[in-house]
Amino acid sequence: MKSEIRIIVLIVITFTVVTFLGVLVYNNLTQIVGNVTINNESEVKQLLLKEIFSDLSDAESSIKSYSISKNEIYLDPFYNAVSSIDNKMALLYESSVNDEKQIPIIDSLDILIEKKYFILNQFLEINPQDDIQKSLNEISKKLSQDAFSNRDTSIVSAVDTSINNTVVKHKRSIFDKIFGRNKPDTTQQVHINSSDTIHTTSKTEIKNEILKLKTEQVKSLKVSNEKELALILEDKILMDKLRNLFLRLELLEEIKVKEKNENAEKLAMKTNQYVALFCIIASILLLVTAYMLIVYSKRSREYRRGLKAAKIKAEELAQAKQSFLANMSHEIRTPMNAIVGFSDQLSQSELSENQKSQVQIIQKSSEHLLNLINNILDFSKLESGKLTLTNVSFNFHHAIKNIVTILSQQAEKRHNRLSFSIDENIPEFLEGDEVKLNQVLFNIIGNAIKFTNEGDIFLSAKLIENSKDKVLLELSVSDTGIGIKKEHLGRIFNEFEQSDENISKNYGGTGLGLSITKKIVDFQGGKLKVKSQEGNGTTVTVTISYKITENYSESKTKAAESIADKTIKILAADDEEYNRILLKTIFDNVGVELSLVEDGPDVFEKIKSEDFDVILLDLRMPKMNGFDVAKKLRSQNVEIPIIALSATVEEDEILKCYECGMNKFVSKPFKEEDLFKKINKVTRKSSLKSNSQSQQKDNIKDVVGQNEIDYSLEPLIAISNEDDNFVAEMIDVFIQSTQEGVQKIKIALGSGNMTEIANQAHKMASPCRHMEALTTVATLKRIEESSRNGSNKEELTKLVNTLEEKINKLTKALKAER
Amino acid sequence: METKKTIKIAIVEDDVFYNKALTRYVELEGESLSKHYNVDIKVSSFTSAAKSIENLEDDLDIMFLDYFFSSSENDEDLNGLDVLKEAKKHASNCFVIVLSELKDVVIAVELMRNGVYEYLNKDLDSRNRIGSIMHDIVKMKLKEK
Repeated sequence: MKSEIRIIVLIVITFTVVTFLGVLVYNNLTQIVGNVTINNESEVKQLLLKEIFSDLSDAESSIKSYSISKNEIYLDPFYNAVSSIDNKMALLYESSVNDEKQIPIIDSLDILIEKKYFILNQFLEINPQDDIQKSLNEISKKLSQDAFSNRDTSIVSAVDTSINNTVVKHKRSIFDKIFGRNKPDTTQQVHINSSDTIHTTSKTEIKNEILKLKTEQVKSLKVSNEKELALILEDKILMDKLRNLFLRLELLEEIKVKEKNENAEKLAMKTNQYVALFCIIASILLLVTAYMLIVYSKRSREYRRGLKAAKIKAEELAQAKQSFLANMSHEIRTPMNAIVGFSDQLSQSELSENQKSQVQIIQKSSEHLLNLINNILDFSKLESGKLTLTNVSFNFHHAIKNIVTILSQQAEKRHNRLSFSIDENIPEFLEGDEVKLNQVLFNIIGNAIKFTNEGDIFLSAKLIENSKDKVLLELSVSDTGIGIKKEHLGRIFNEFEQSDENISKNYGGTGLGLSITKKIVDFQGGKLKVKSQEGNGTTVTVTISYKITENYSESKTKAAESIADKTIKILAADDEEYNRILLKTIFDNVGVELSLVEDGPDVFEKIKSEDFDVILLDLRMPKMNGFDVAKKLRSQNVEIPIIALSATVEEDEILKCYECGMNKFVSKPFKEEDLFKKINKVTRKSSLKSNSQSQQKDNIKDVVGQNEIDYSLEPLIAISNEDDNFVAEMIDVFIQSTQEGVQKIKIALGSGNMTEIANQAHKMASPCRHMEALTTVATLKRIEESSRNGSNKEELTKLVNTLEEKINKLTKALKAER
Repeated sequence: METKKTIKIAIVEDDVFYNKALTRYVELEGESLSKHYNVDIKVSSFTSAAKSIENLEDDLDIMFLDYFFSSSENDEDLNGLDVLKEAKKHASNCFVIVLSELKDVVIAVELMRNGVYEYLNKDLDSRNRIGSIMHDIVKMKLKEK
């Protein structure tokens, strides 16, 4: 969050800075553009000045041309030039309105131009040729007056001059109009002079007059020349002044332009600096933003990776927890079985009242512990997803009846009535996991029984939906028991939690039952709901769907088939209801007749009235345990093969089974396949023996007792990958190493090296176990224990002899197998 | 992930029979694992603690170790714990699984303290566990990569 805000702030800052700098640069550029226009203006001004100057020279030259030629044509350009100068001066004034420095210069320029006009005017007035011409004309008139009539000529000449005078006057009036100034009338003087001369009339006088005229002419010429010279000088000075002014104006303009240019340059420089600054700041900000973004994304990626790793780790931890629970439970179960087994045996021995009650406490608590462990195992299986569904065809109606039959005994103990109803419309055969169904109902009804005293428990199975190949069933178990407090209803599915802490004290249980049940139901895609009112009982409803099948011949294994073919009768003794349901279910499915008893003594009663092909014996039963039952049966020469069923994995107990005359051992929880195989084995042997009739009771011990060496190549074949050579090789290795082992033990026995004996026995145990030569393993264990405990040599020798015997038998048998 | 990861497994067991059976079993499990995962399983087996230490590879992934050695001539004093310590020293990423007949809690605790991954009994039940342990380790090793 923090870095997100930082990035946003940075972006805002970047935006602001960029905008600010952009505005700044824009302003500067506008100013630069303004300067450029000013530059243009001053160029125009300079052009104006130049044009004024050239116009002036035009005016001058046209005036000069006029004064020489007296041709009025030359006056037009003069007028044009004058008006153009006037216009341009006006423009000049206009363009320099605000310029304090330039205005006085332009003013003096104006004055000088006026002066120029005046000088030009004066140029016009200087006309020496005209005067001379006039004098000459007078002289000639006088001459002709003398010859003809003086009056006429004088009149004519008077008229003539007056005309001349009017013309000149007229001309002057134009100039006056233009310049507005009076000028000395030089022509009139000349005229008067000349008219004066006219009245002097004599030849000498004329000669004198001419001479006089000549001198006068020279004089006048000289005067006019001088005047002209003076004018030219004046003009020159004026022009110089004008030029000077123009130059000054130009200079001023240039300075102005220069200033402006400098300003523009400065501005441009400034703008450049701004642009550079802008670029630098913008790029820095962009870089920082980019960096922040990269850091942010990197960090978020890291966080994500961290989270992922943490998730994986958590999952692994959960997995580890599961496997730890499973392993622990598994490991604990073994010693627990020993505790339970031995406390059973203890309780049967002669004990004082005090001891008996103590042993009972041990039994009860260990049973509770074992139950807890089994639940944990189930639970961890569920959690770790190792639970699998074994969908088989089963008789739903039978299944329900079986459960009720078995549990009704338990219900009766608490004076409860357990009844049930099955919807007739539910098809008889369904496909699904029957074992799981049993487990679920067993748990729910078990709970109902547990929390109900002298009440009713009712199981109903209703058909809710019936489609082509599927049915949706509603199984509900209602009781009239103590019920569950409303506030506890939400927690009843939590693991290890019971609705009330007092419950485990008063009713026992682990608090796992209902949560496991719910998980199993969920796993099968069903729903489990609990309705309860405190004091008014509880109703647990399971809705679950099953496939409809015609029969249940499918999904049967070879072993199951072979067992079904045999039409054998089996007796099973187990004190646990759940196991009885399981066995009933298993054998019902394959159509094998199964009789169930709850305890050891019942076995003897059962076999008196019926014939059985196999007896399945639970090792732990309250009144008489499996070992004792087997021993007693064998001592009564009952030849029925016995298969031990036990949760124990303790070797001593397994070996004890064989020693007690049992034929096979099946560990709980067992696989159907495994059980069927073992049943097949024992029934085949016994039927072979009984069919041959040649060997009677005496030989039975050979078949079932200690004398037959037990082993199995199955573990080897399983890993051989159908490689017979491997099996053969392994047999060789086994024979060799066990024979060597026996020899080493014998040598060590001779030298009294007890440690060596123990070590060798220890080493030999695992290959033997691998061959499932369990009686041999038992002997090896005894040897190891005895040698470590320092038992007497005699006993040890006896054991070693037994071992040698067994190994030899094994060797013989294995050699035959090869 | 493109390149096949090689999972190196060592079996240290002085009993020839059990050694062979275990090697065979581990190889079979390895074969099925390499079908499901992008791995090569390389199994080497040793019949003495000394030999296993001599040939210890730094990148060993899994070691199945017997605890109690007796039949060898030279390594009377070496037991599974010694091999475990060496393995942990040189191949720190190695998962060591001790297989033993011994049910001595003191030894088990000592092994656990020295970083043993699993402690299994040498019975047939353990065999299934071996397979699932290999499976778990291979999955972990693939994740590591």
